[in-house]
Amino acid sequence: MRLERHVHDVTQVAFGARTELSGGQLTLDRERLAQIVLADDRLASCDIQLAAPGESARVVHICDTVEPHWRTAGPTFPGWGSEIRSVGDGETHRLAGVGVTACCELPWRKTGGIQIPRENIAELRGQVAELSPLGSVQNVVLELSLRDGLPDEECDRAVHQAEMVVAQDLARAIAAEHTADRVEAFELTLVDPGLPRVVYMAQITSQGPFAGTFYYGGYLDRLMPTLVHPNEFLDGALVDGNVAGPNIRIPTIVHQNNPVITELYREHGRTLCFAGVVLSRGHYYGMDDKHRVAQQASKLARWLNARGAIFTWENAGNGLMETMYTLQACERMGIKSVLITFEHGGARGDDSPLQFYVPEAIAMVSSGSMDEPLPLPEVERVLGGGDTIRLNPQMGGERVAARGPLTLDWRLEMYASAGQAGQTRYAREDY
Amino acid sequence: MAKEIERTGIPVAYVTTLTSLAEEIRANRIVAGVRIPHPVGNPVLGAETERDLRTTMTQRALEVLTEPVEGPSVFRVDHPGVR
Amino acid sequence: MLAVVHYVNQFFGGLGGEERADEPVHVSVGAVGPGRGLEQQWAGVAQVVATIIGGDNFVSSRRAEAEPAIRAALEEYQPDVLVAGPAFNAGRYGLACGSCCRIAAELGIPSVTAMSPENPALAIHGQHLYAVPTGELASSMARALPPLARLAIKLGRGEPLGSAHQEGYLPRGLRRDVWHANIAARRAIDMLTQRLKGEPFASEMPIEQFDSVPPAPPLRTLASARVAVVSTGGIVPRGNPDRLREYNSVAWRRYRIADLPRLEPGEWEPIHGGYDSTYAREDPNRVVPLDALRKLESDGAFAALHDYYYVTVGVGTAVNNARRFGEEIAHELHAADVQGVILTAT
Repeated sequence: MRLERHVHDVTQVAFGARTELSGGQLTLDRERLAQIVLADDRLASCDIQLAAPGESARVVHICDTVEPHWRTAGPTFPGWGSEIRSVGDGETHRLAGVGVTACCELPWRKTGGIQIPRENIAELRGQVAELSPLGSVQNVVLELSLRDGLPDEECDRAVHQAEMVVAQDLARAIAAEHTADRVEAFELTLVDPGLPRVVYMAQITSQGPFAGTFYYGGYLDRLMPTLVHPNEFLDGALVDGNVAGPNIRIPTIVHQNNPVITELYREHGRTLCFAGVVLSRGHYYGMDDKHRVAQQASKLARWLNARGAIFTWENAGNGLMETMYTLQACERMGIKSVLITFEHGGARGDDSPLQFYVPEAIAMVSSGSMDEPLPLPEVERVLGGGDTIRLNPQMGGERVAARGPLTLDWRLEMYASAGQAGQTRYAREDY
Repeated sequence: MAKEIERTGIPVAYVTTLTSLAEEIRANRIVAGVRIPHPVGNPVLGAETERDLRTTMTQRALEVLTEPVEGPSVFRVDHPGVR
Repeated sequence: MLAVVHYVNQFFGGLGGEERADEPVHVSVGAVGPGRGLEQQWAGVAQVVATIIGGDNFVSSRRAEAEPAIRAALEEYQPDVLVAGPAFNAGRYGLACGSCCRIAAELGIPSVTAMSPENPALAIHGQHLYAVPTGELASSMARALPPLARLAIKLGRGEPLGSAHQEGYLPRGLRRDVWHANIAARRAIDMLTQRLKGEPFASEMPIEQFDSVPPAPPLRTLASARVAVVSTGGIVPRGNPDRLREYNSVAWRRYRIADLPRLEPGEWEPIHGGYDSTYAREDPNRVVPLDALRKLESDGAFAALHDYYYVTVGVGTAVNNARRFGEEIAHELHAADVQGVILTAT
């Protein structure tokens, strides 16, 4: 499998008469895009806003973010109104430096539990902007509202479908007329057999509507560990639906540019041989399932003849147990492992960083603490729809002005801020 | 929390599905629960069987309070409703 | 020239071994024993103005006499920094070093010590001590002195310290924010490459050992026992009147269950954010087994169920908070003569 991503670099976005790219500026046809979104009658309204990183702006009600892609042959974002056929092979056009974000106040129908589509917030200015993917791309924000009475799964699928039709349309329009600035190729070529084989152990979370991960358009709720090709991440096979876990989710745009995968590819043939990806689900509710995951995932790593493994996980709490048990099983088979994880540690850094370990977890990389309160300044613009956010679902939901200033107790609502794919520079250290 | 209560001299029967987590944090009397969302229940059972399961588990947890232990110990309940 | 006061025990003070462990605290002008090694490292930048020598037994068991003497010496010499040890794996010496550093801190004097990572003194002094790791035995003295000397200068000059890893002192159980030059994915692959090559590497997070609690004595007879039920599963009265949080709990609550035969669905709800609450909502007794407890109570399995049920939400809870909740709840339970607890977790 050889994936060639034809990259069109974007440094600015603006509305214009037609969708085109020139000198790094992407202009897009606002009316046309809104119309294609509204062709899906699950959606009641669609307003499109633009925002640049560094602006005094906050994006709220985020459902997901996707990078514009267009595959010249075969389905783009397979399973989303398109045929289900494997991706990760052939030619894909990519608009780098743009993110299409679907925003919508999804219905809060419960006061407790996992499947509440909580408020997802991203800052575009300041160091905290680095903690979300929106802080480093030109943002095309779809402010959506849904038809009344849709069941949760339809809401979930509708907002994702919207971002993907826009993303595809943009990339297709540009691919037709603009020559790519560069081409990046991804292939697990044969390399020096003396190089150590390294596997990426990627644990996602999936527990139904608003809390799931999609693979070729289907929820991964019942996933037992399996092999996937790294190119499938880079080519849109995985879509993130975990609105319920704003900080501990890995948004689609991060999967499309998964840094563990791109860095392993960078080293492929130089210091290591990238052997492949084991995809698994964590946060199962019984010890038996956790052990099944660990045994199966580690067995697949061994089948790939791995000598080393990089672990990432998604979610929080007991989801770490599957990862730790898998890591333990790998280490016991001689597969040297490194785990990337966020930590707790309390606001002041004097509390336990993690709540579960295995003795074999001797090599860990920190993606920082989720416990520290974040003061958010007043901003000039709020994008996503309206000017309030909802907090505290356990109280039935309470509305707070979104413009700020406001301080959130801990980082639950900050979009992707736990950095679980290893995509940020923020960490904690002993002192 | 269980450990702090125990530290003051009151025995605690800690009912949890995540028994290894409880062992790692060194709770002493650990009773294996059914599943995380329903540690002392099982929705796949009929109502009467489920109540019977819960009574059996609760009784076991109470008995565990009378058990001498030397450190983290896991107690399991013998009932068909507990997988 | 920085002024340093150095603390050593009777052995490194040149007085003798265990037979001199009751030596009272006294001060010798200038450097003694390892202090001379430190001065060589400092090469004129710092000097030991005085050495406090204390017998390991004296300092650890006659604190009421030892500590004022140490304090008086520090007050007299007003050093820029106190250096204590190295204590290697000697437990009493390590404790004495820890005490000296604590006293110095009370006087606003920076301090640093050195001992083996296994020295029991570290568990006791924990977050407050800068300690350079050494080998187990005094034969590792030559290796221990350079990092100890270097840290002493930095502290003496009031320079800000880097991370534990950068500066070479033991983690203190305190962590702070940092923004690295590289993203975590890059750092992880670099760390893996070091491991695969067999090179030394530094994990960014320590594995924590959780402390043990001596098991409380078992109940002699269940039939005469008062029992309470506690839960971290977040089952609260409908509407969550006390606004307990769905994550990162900062409080616990008690609710009266004295006249209740069970928790009625609809009157109690699960507000815990970390598990699928569908089953608990249908029947809260699946998390808090009140119906079963009532049945067993009326059957005489135990004497009485405490009037109150205690609840918090056990996800993302800071361990320090959880400890505090346990202490506070235990206080109430003792006051109510509760003899055993069933605690359910989700």
